[in-house]
This record gives sequence, C-alpha cells and structure tokens, in this order.
Amino acid sequence: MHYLLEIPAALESLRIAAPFTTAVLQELPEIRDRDRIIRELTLVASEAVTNALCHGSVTGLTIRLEYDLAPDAIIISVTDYGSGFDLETVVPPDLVLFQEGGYGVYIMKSIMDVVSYEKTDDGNYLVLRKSWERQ
Amino acid sequence: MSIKVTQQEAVTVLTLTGRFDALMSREFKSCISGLINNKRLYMVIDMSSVDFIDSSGMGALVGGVRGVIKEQGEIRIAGLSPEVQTIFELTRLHRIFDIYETVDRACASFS
Repeated sequence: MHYLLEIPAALESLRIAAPFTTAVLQELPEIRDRDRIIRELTLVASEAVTNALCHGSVTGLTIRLEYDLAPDAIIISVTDYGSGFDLETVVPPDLVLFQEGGYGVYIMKSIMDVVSYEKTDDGNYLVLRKSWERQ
Repeated sequence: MSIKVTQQEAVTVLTLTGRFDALMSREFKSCISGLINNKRLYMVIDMSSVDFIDSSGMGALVGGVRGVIKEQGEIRIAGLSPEVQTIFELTRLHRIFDIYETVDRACASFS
C-alpha cells in the first residue's frame, strides 16, 4: 500500500505530517512488538520530516512524505527540493560535548535497517527501510 | 505543546504539555531565555504531560540546560513517561540530565 502526503516546506507542516503518520502506522499488520515499532516509526518519521524542513527546505516549495507498507516491511521516503546535506558527514552525538544537534540522524540510523540519502537535480531523497518477521 | 510557568518558592516549574518537536522547541527556547534574563535560574521541567519528544525537543532541552548552567543556575527534569524515557535512553542523554520521578522530588532536591 502506498501513501503520499505533500506539504508546504515550513515547520508548521509538522502539525499536518504527524497525524498523517499516525493514521498510516495504524495500518501496520499484527506483528511482534507492534506498539514499540509504531512508536519508533513515529519518531523516525518526525526526524525525517524535520530534517527536510530544517536542512532542505526552500520557502514556497513543498516536501513529499511517502510510505510504502508491505506485510514484512515499511519504506519511508522524504523528498525535498532544497540544498540538502551530506548524510555521511553527520557525526554521532558526543555526550562529552553536550551538543544540541546531531541526534536526528543518529536516531534514524539506530532504529531503521537502511538509511540512504541521494541528492539529484530533481530533489533530495531520504529513504528509510525497516523490516520485521511475517506472522 | 503548551508551556505553563509557575513558581514553587525559589524554584520555577515549567510544565510542558503535548508534543515536543521542532515547532515547539522554538517556544521552549524562548521561554528559557526569558527566565534566564529575569535571573530565575533554578528550574524544574515537568515532562509528565509530554506524550512525544524527538531530537529537536531533546536538543532544546540540552540548550536550556547549557544556558542555565552557564549562568550558575540549576535545572532538573521530572516526570518522564516510559515512552519519553525510551528516547532519553536511545540518545543516552538520560546520563547527563538530572531526572526525578516527580516535580515535588525535583523541587525538594534544590534544598
């Protein structure tokens, strides 16, 4: 099943993306640790959208949030049309430094099986995949 | 999310309600800055009504703690739900913050 939401590239769009995510994740099949997985995916979706809004947004444009839901996996894709960022240069948070940023990518990589990012002339694509055992 | 500011003797209590994400972290940072400017440097952040927090909220908390400590103040966090506690542990920030079960215990810790 494919779900698509296109929202303005503004921080206020978080108020649109959050209930959309909640509704989509209710469609997850009955799997082991379903409640925990839904909580984690809710967090990851918020991180992905925030990342696009903060680092890749351009006023007047949109971002696209897509979910592809299969019986054994989910793919979350976020497309933005801003300047983008380099996923590989984001360093894990250093607790000694007590830093304010850098936790978003760390959270996404901690929870998801695959995190990929591609910059193209047509937009920046963040793709996150998580799979689980079919029951 | 909403932020309610109350005073318990010398301690300022910030009661947060709802979703603590990037949108509401702006409001939180502004609130903390205002309190610091007014020399209200002993604070408790009541998180018992926060049902969701992401890295933006965590970053705002870190910034708030740094700002208060810089002015020789002290700040505590109270009332984490199990769901929110999980995010603290995932980012390992539970090791850095002073966390209490309740606001009363957090306030009492100042004396």
